[in-house]
Amino acid sequence: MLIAACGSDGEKAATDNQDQTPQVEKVQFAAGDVKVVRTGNTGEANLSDVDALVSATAKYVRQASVIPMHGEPLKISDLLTSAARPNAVGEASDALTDVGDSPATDSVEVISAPLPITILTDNTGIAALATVSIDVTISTKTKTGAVKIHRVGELAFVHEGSNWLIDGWRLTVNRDGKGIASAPRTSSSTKAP
Amino acid sequence: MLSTGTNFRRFMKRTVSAVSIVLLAVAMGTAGLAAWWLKTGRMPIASGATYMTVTKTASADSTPVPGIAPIFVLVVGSDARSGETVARGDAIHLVGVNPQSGQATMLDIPRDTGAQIPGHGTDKINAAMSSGGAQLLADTVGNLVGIKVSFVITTDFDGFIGMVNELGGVDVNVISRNVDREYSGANFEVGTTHMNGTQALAFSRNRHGFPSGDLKRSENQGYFILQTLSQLRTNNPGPTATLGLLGNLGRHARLVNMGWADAYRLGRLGLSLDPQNVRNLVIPVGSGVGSRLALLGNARDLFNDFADDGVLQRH
Repeated sequence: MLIAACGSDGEKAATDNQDQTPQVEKVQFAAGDVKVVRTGNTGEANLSDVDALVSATAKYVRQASVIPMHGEPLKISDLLTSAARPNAVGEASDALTDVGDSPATDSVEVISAPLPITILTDNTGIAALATVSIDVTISTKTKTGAVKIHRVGELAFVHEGSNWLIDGWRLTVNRDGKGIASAPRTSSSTKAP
Repeated sequence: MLSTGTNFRRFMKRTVSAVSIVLLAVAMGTAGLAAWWLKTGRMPIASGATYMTVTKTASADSTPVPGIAPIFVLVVGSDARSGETVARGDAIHLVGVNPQSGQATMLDIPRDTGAQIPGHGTDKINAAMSSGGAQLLADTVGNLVGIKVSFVITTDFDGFIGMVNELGGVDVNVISRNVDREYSGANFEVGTTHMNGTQALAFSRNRHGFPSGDLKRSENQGYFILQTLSQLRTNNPGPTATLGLLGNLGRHARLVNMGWADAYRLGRLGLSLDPQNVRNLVIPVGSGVGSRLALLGNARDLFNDFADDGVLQRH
């Protein structure tokens, strides 16, 4: 079953970076194709779940990339399941997040392709798991030059309570530009809690 | 060929072990099926058939650090025939996975291995299943080896052929001749063979064709698991493909004490394993009283080596 649905998550400017020019992120996220995998005889894509997944993805991008680019502390642990948190280290952290570069001196632009979503419903038709495929490009400038980060792959979400939390991922990140702290690099991570 | 009722009953009774192979392959690397499903656009059709039961044991939640600590999964093929609710665990494989290193070990435990079954004294280890189900078998194996089993995957004869066929068959690199036309129907020469469910069952149940009998059969079952995992991994599975497979799993599996998040993590854990990094070996057993096989002297050291991190460093 394919349905189209849209969701968005408008980003607010980070506020307290005194040394930086005003930063206004332009973020638009929208669902792409939505597929439902049923484990029972019932189960449809609930638009509220689709919107929640889009919002969760947008929140992940904001907290994993945009906020660190403003020089603020990384805060993604609340986006991960307890099973996933121990895995978000080392190479996985490098693939999941954008930290370590100089703070942005310009706005941070985020461009996202539509997000294909696959939802698994349990035998009562309730959404239990989902994956979101991402293709996100993040651009900004730092005092040392431009930064361009391209992240593609999949995020796996688990429905816990009213939240969709990231439980696993398969991501590849390409970083380029003079503003990258180290040489332009590629990192990738496939992690399965 | 199975030409008589007696042979057929023997066939049914003794050779369900290979079913577990497919189940583990599914649990370890299900995305191959998912990839096929996604590619063809075929939605799994509810058949009403239950191929497997996946049980999260009582000790699973005591795993110290999810994603970090070794996880032990027991894969069991029972001898249950259609309609039977009590069965012995006749094919027993204990898989220890080390998520940190991406390595694993599969200990193949012969069904006649003598063991202390909690509350039931000493018996063949396969009797634990009929005495107390998956949990008691998990406890028995756990006590024997010195680990805590987190998940038990059980299957029976009826699920085996269907599951292999669901996978579209498995390419098996037969490395030693496997022929036993009289009992199992196995007839495989050295070389790569694409096996359907029936053939895979024959390959995995043949014990008459080898001097070491059930020991070689247990080893072959483990080998088949790894061949299946290797095939599944070539489809480059990812999270979305895994969901596709879980959709199929859900229609043919019964989950006990666990939810889909657990099933997803179990599947992804398996898919993270490169078969090249999985050791497959039969535990050392010899002869024993009343046809119960006794552990050999080096078994304890092997178990200790295995139990600390799921990986063998000294064996």
